Amino acid sequence: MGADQAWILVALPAAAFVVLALCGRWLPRQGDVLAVLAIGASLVLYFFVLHDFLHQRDGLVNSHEYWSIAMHHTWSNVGNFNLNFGTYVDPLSAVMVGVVTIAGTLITIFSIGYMKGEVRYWWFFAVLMGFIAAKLMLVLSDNLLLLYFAWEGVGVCSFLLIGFYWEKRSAAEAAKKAFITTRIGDVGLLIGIILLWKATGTFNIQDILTAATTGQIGHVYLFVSLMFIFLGAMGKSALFPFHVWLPDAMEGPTPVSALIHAATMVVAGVYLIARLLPAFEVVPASLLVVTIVGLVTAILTGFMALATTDIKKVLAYSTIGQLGFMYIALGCSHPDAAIMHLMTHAFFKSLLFLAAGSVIIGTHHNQDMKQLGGLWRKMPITAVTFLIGSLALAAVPPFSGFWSKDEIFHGTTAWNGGWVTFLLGFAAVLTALYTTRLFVRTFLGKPQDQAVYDNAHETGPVMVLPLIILALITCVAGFTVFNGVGRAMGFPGGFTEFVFLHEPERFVMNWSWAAASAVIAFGGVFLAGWIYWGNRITISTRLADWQPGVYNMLVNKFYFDDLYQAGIDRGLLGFSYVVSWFDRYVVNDTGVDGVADTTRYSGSILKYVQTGKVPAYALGIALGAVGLAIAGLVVRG
Amino acid sequence: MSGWDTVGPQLAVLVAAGLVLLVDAMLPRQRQALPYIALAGLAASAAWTASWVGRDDFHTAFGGTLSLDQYAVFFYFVFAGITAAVVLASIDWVNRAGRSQGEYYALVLVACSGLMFLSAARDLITIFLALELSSIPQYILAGWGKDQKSSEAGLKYLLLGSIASALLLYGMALLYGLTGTTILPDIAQVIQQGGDTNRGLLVVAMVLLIAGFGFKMAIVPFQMWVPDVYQGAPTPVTAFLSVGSKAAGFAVIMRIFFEALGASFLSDDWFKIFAVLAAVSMTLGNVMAIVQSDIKRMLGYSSIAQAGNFLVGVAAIAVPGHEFTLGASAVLLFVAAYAFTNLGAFIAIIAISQKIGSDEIKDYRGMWRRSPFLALALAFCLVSLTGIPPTVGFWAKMYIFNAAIRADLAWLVILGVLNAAISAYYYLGVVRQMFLSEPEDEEPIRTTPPIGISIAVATAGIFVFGVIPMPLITAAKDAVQIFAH
Repeated sequence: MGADQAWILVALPAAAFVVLALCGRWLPRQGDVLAVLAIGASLVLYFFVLHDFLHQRDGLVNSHEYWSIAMHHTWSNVGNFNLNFGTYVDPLSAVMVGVVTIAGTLITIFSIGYMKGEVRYWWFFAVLMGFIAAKLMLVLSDNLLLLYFAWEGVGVCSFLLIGFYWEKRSAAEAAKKAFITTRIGDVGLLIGIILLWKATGTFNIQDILTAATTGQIGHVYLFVSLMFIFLGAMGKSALFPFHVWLPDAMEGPTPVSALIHAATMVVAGVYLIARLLPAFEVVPASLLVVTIVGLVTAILTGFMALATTDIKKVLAYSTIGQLGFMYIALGCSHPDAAIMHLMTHAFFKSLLFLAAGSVIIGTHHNQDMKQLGGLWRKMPITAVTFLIGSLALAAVPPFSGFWSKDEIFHGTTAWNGGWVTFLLGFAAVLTALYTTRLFVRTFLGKPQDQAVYDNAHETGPVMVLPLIILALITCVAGFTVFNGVGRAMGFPGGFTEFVFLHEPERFVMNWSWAAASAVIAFGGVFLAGWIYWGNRITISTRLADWQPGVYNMLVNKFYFDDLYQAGIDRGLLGFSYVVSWFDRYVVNDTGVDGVADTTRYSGSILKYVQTGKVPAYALGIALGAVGLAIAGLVVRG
Repeated sequence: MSGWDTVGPQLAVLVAAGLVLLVDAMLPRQRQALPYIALAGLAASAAWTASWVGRDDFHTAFGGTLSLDQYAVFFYFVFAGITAAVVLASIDWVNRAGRSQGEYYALVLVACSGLMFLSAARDLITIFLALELSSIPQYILAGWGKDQKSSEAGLKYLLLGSIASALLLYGMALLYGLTGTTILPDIAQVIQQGGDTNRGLLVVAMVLLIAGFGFKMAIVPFQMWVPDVYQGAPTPVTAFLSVGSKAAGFAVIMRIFFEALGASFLSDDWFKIFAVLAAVSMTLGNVMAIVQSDIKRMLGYSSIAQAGNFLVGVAAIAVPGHEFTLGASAVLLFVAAYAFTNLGAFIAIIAISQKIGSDEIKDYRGMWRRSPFLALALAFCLVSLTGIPPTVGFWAKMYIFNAAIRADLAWLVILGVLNAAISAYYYLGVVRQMFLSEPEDEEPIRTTPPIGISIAVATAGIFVFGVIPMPLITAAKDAVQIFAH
């Protein structure tokens, strides 16, 4: 078992999906053991693949050369149209597969406890396996077409997970919203893929990148196709202006599917852009677009998170914001920083979601900050682990979020003028603010609702154990940036020496940068602590009184949801109703049904002929033919 | 013997039709055997066709009016398969209808033989005769139901079909008048020699041909009969119309335009006409389908949109200066994919409506509780119609769009992709009703073996060719080799 057989990692959960979907209901324990076995085996085999990959890489004379292992199989060909599919293992996909298999295994085990006794228990595990298989295929695929299949597969599985409690109307609505919103991006992605294929004649990612970097694709053409592809990434990552679906997606089974969407699915877009980054570099304008979208997203969602009181929705907005950070790093040509933040974020955000789930279970399904408060006495372990996750999210040293965000800060110097660095700093302050607010209002201060507080209790060991494991990882994951730590784990060096775009970069501690970002983090934390712990919440009420317009705008999420709804209602559906109305009343009913009603009783077939329909249709045919003939004759002139 | 050999597949079907009638009349107690006699006839027909492939014996016959080439063979297989599925799906319905069972199967078989002749004919008169041979039984079948809706559908189909035939005949007459021959390759020769002096009249003839066959193919603006007839006709017949006559329409129109009107100055005209018709059919069909509440009506409109997809391929064939065969093979692939998929969907609907007595989409709520098998199969067919992998429908769309891109019809492809997104809305809307809603009635739906088998075969085909598309693609490629000039 080596890197050549990486496809087995995908095949195992895919097989589990098929078995569970077809007959999971009748298996012992509804087949949850099978799911754990499949993803567990994938995790174990992943280490074999990784080991083999690193081993083959060590064999190179110059171990700093970019090393990858690719496998090809022919799928189909027609004329000069060939389709190959295969796997591509390089540091980027190796890290992604690691995140997916580790997170996937933990989620699957956690689900056994969390989903116990729920309806359609087997179906949950089936979809979970389908999701993981699609996600693994996405990161291992060596060509854009296979990647697109996997991309759609991830989308369908997430649709099914969000809508898992379809008895709840809000869940069904959220599933629909997520599906439609991401599909808009998906269409863009498909167009982008087709455009690139038309220019290069291949779907193979590496071949396309070679063509792009050697100037075989015109710059304007390349820019347009990359923007279409970025549209797909924006939809999947819920970037502005597609951010509306992710907070609603929190309707899925708490916190399991929430976690899937936060830590795993949405980063597919980050991976895609990181994968194609060499092509983006050819056209600097495209990098600028990525950076700006990332900045707007990070700042906008920071404000929204400040105006939300639902714990899970705050976490959802923070996820979008952190994705914005990753895209900023990508826009600065620093996939190393982006992927490192992706990795640390996956762990600390999983921790936060599971801890939030623990709060929700511990308080008997209460997830509104307005009714919580003072919970640390009742749920000490949850509080401590939540605190660790929050500190990492707020980028307080030495927690993992600090190191990865520091890398991003470093990267922003790629843009002249420092405006990116400045705005990023602003977004980081917002992050620290809302994170502290979340923690303070949930765990500290006075209980807001005495009944909720009295009934609160710490959750059982099945839920607490994953929290502790994830908290430990969150404490240490950031240290992988150090050369020594990386070497000790068997990698050629620290994180940025393993994942890189042009050449490996050894991490050097830059004290002034570190101090600056630490000040930003602490500043945000203290400001929020001053406001919320010091019970100066009146500040926000005063804001509401002083500027109700601004406040309402925040609470109503800048009115994006309403805008989109109106667009869909009035635009598309309106159009189809007009056409259908025309069909029903003008084509069908004009003198048709009225006459038909009176003649229905007579039962004579002939009368049906005289309903006006048939002559109308015949006229339609004749007019169509005449119209076509005229068009045909005009066209030739 | 070569004469017998030439029409063997049709003969097998027609003999089976005669046997069915005889058994029905002489041995009324053995009526259960009728559909199986029909199936045996179809199997014999397919075997005979296969023997040509085995002998590699392709030729023209009857003075060049029939061409037994790989193109025809491809469609023989498709039609035999379609008809077999329709026969299987009809068994329950015909048993319940009770009367005139023999006639029903006999008409289906006769129509099948007409479709087969249509795909092999390369002479205008033969084409017209074959078209009528397949159409007249279909008119009768559409009106087979006992209710008024069905009678209305039958009569409407007959009247409008006659108008379409008249237009077609007029176009053929015009073509004959211009060229003095009815054999397709000879027409091409005369046109080539004549140059573009008669171009105006040729365009008119072409348009009349398109109108005549457009009726069969159900493309805009010749589509108006579709929703009414699909909704009114008995569902097995609807399945037959939506797949069989549409496929035959495309088979014959591609042959006519290739073999007779392939001159470069003409193809320049007709690729534009087809491209516009494709765009209009796709868009109108999809937009109308969104708001339908009756599933048969919805599939009727969606079949118009699918015909638009076929036309994308037809338009791609004709763009001057490009490889002919790519678009043609894409259309053939689409025909086969669409046959599997739409039949599967219709048969599932037959099974469901027999139980619940309704075709309203809202009555499909929670179907997966009542019959997981039918719900899953129907969902799979709808996913394939949308064009989402891993289904054969995905490959079909993929190759159609690929051909169009190669032919520099990028705008049509973008429109097609957008339309695919629209179609996802209503196709998956049904899936959502079936899986994400609670049933109003919990009573399980049982499927009878013939229906179960035919659905299982159709969905297995969708899936197997969705994962391993190469055999089907190769067959389609081989079939259009006759067009590689």
